[in-house]
Amino acid sequence: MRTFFPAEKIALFYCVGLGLLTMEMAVLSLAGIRFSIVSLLVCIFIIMFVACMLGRSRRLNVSYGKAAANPFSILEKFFAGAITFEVLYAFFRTFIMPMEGYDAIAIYALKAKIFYLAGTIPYNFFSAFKDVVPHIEYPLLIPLAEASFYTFLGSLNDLIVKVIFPLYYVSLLAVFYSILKRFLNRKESLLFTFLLATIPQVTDFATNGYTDLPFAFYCSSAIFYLYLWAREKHSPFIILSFVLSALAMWTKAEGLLFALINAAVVIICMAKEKSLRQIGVIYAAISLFAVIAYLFLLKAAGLAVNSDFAGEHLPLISKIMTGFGRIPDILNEYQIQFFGPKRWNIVWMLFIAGFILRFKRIFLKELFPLTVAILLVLSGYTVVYMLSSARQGFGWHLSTSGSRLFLHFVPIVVFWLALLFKELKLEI
Amino acid sequence: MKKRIFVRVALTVWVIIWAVFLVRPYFKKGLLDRYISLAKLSTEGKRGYVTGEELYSFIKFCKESVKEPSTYRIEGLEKDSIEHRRFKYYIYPNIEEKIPEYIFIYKTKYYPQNGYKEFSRMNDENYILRKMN
Repeated sequence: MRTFFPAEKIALFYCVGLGLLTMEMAVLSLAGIRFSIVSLLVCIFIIMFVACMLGRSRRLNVSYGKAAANPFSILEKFFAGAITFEVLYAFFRTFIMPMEGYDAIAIYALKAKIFYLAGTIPYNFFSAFKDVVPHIEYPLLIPLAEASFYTFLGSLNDLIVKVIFPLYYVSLLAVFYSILKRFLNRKESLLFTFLLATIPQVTDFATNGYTDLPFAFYCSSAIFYLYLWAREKHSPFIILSFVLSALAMWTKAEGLLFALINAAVVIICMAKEKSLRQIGVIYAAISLFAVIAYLFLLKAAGLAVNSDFAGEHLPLISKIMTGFGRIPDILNEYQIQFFGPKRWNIVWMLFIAGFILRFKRIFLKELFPLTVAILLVLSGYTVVYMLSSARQGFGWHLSTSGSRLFLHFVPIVVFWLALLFKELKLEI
Repeated sequence: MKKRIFVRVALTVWVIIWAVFLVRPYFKKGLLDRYISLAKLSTEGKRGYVTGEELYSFIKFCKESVKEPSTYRIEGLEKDSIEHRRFKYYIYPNIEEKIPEYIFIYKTKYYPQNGYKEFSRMNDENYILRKMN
């Protein structure tokens, strides 16, 4: 039974391990234990132990075919060279510049500094620090990951800590390539990994200290493994998908939407196949429970999902009516993104072309779960914009967040394009 | 054959756009000069370069002058601007408050404030006021 490639495992251990480490830091804070190298190493040792055990398991290893030994063609060398260049360039851009982006400094780096200097998440953090840090309610994975780096370094270094972000970029490419290798040959897998690696918006967010690329890793990978489960019904995939989905919620509030979408995709796929699987039902139920628990905890702490939208308290019906009036503006922003090569190259144009020209095929078995996921994400984000009551105005919300929201699921779109490529029997 | 041509045309367009937007900032935004300047600097120098030398010097002056942690207000920076956010980040664990112990005055020659007296001065425009007991 095929499961995980070595590079894929390393990438997953980094991203899942870092996520779990930050969860451990939250638990340590609740228990009143300060962050220290020793207290953090406990978690790392447990993760490494589990990693070693899983690494030895035959169930989780992939056997390489002969193709791996074939020499690279010129085109493959070009793709591999370009990917390597982008990765090295991402590390260069990371280390040449300290934290400078607005949210990177104002929210994540400042929270990390607070946690590191306090040696914990202060018990009154969500109330006493409301005026110190904007968006106190944002999930804490990235600030805690930065604080863990500071703890190991023994000092605050907002330059070195940025290494977290290009490592997510490399991990995303490693997982993406490994997923593709299950469906396509090496040349085609390299082609689509090259496409993902060279999308300007992806490379920009691989270095700037924002949470969007780590979030894109978690939510996209959660969908990838859900897709593998939907095809192969191999339980490690759906378990991993759930862990990644939970870490997405721990990275950005949009993770709530993705958890619901994942649950919906599982249910819809099972309904389409007319085969109810216990683990699928459990996945959907736990995802729903996790979202409700998250919202309940926020409410108990007196926080909104996003404080930007807590300013206006209109009845739902008024919000919906206002929302319909916003649709032209929302669609206008979408077309700016879709036809803007500066940020996206032609990825969205290819997606639209594939969607329109092969409309019947994209709902067939191979592409169905991904098509549903993409449509649900687009619809979900559209509804968020329709109901947005940002204090700075709806236009501000749309223009400042649109391009970042598209980043979250662009890896899923490139994967969709790769499968469409296979479905249409295209050649390179 | 048609399919292969379509794929290769799309790939060529992709590569051209990729190369253009990769190289363009070096010419349009003087990225090469920026990187050369940054490469020569220490980590501290890089922070100063990104923040702005004058503001970063003032932040260091404030940090060195007051006892941490204390409360402050900053005058001379637009509220919630990127400069204000950077100031808040670097100056932490000192915390901003409405009626603080210190008032940091940035790029403002004259700033009378009842109940406060001059505490430390960096130059004519940049100085610190302290609350009188």
